[in-house]
Amino acid sequence: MRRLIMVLLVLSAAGAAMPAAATPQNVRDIMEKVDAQQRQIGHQTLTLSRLSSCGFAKQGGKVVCTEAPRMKVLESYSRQSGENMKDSQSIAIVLEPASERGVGMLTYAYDDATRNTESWLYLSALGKVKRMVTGNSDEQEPVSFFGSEFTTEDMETGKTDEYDYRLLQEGPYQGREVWVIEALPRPVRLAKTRYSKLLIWVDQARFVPLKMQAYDRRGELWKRFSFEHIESFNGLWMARRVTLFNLYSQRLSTMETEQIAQGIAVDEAFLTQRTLVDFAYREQVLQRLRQHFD
Amino acid sequence: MAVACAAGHAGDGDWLTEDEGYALDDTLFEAPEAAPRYSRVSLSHFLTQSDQLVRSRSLARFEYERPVSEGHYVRVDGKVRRFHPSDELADVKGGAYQEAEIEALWWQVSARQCFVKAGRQGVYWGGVDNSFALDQLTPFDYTEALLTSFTGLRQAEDLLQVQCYEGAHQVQLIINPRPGLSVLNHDRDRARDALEAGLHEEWGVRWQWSTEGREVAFMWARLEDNLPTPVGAGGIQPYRLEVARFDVWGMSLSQSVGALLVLLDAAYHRDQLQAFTNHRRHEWEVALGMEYTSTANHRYNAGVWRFRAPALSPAGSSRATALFNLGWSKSVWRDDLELSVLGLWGGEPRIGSLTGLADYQWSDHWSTQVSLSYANAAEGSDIALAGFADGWSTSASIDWVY
Repeated sequence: MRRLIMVLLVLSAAGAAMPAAATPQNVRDIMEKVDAQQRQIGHQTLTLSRLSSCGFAKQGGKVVCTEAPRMKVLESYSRQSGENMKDSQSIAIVLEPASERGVGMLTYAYDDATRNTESWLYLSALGKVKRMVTGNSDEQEPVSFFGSEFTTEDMETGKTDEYDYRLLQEGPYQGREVWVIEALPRPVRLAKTRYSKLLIWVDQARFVPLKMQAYDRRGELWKRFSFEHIESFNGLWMARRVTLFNLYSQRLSTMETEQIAQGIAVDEAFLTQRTLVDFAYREQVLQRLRQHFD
Repeated sequence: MAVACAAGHAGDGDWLTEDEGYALDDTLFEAPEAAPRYSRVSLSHFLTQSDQLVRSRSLARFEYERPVSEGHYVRVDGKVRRFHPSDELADVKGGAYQEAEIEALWWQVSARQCFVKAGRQGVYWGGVDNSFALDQLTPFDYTEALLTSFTGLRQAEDLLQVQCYEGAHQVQLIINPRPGLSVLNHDRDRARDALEAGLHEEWGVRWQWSTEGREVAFMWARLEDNLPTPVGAGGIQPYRLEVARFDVWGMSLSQSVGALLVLLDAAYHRDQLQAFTNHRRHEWEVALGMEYTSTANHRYNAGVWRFRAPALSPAGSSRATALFNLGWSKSVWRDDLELSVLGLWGGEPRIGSLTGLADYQWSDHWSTQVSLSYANAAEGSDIALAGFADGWSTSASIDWVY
């Protein structure tokens, strides 16, 4: 659940000029810029997101669900802080499905590896807030993100120093000029990742990924991510729909940003335990934030 | 290259070839309703079978909550339980019956740093799971089935709660003008009603301080006991039931150390009434717990709750005892299957149980639970009241929610 908002892959259109030739160092610069902009979109942002999952098959060149889809709707607010905006505070409330409606989680995540992620869960049956055991997320195996094919690892940002990057190719893809970049995990990353390699197709003009492929430990293609409906908000580019095709399980998950309000500050108290139990206060603040939805 | 071909690429040399067959239709997933949903309806049927007891009951529940105006919020939660003819409680009652209950009916008003919440609600202090050193504000409902969670074992009461926040500090004030007793079954009698009518108001205050990795809370409350105590009457009837009124000072701590969470609840009870005597004494209750998540995301919890068990007969005496618990849980299959195990054991009154539970989510609306338990409990134990029966038992439930 942590860093919920980070799945919205967004890049700044008004960034510093990038070098014309993509040297190894420049490729890292590209990825750091991509990563920094992902964090930027998560700063002072309210989103209403829909996470849909199903088994899939291809019919007539299109993807179809082979079973009734499962759907979760989440409303979340997040704020970045700390050095290089790498710490985050977020609150997420489940609106659907009915069985989980009202579940709320407050999370403080820190870039400093010596500080543990802190999470508090609102237990609706008891009407009280409980501190959750989280430890340092770097030490935990990735788990399913809200029951979807996405995992907590897929949500991570701020880890560019844990990869070596190489430019594989550049040229037109889906009608846009892209860099195709290979990310190989360094030993510090290899110890905790399930992926042996990532390939990322980065839009050169908007610095937004159009596609990503993740490979398993044997080097075989495991997951395919596509980034669609790319739009600009407050000078930031964002893929409003991210789809993950798990080629092993033949299941897919789609995260769609139904509504977004970016760059809206709230009182410090909103990202505290109070918001999990004081519903009247929470709705009061959210109502004000929702007025800024696009 | 097999990988590249699977991805639809021409080969290593050309990563710019368009993929085919991954086009996603915009109508693949039906968009949810635009308007927020404020209600939830759930239906379930629960069955337990063992040599000694049968539980067969159905539940219909309706919940509704929403903001009513700026700074105001309401919640209603009502349920009807049907106890079928074979159910152990139907035996007590003399036949099948249904029981309607209001679990929540409150109004919350928020202003500045505080909120006021008035109406039917639960208030639970203390952090150590499966122990009640501090969780004595609201009484228990022993007619609820207990598997690997004690969550449903409480009943809400009509009370007023005021809570204020200032930075890392929280202050909570509780006033309960009309406390009730724990529910053992639904066969109410006049004696119990008379006892409940004679209870005085309860009130308490709690202060909590939160910092990175830690929460510390101190509390004080003046309470009525949740169960009546037999005391010497001195007349023809040697004993009568009395509900003790006592003060509790408490302290609660949760401290995270990496993937380990350490919890401590400590309570000092003044003027605790002793069974079969007219004596009162001051007592300590302490619960120590830990929760741990492994790197593979197995969740473990353990705890010990030290308390004074009341005398079970006039010839007996109260004795300090401890209840231990050990639990494990793990979510698999994209969280569709939740597996959990809970073991409990204590010396006085003697109790031991081990329960394994599998909870499977079939869809966004349907889920089932299956459990297998082995228990061994002495009569008269509060925990035994929660439905433990000697020997093996199996339980199953099917739930639908919308």
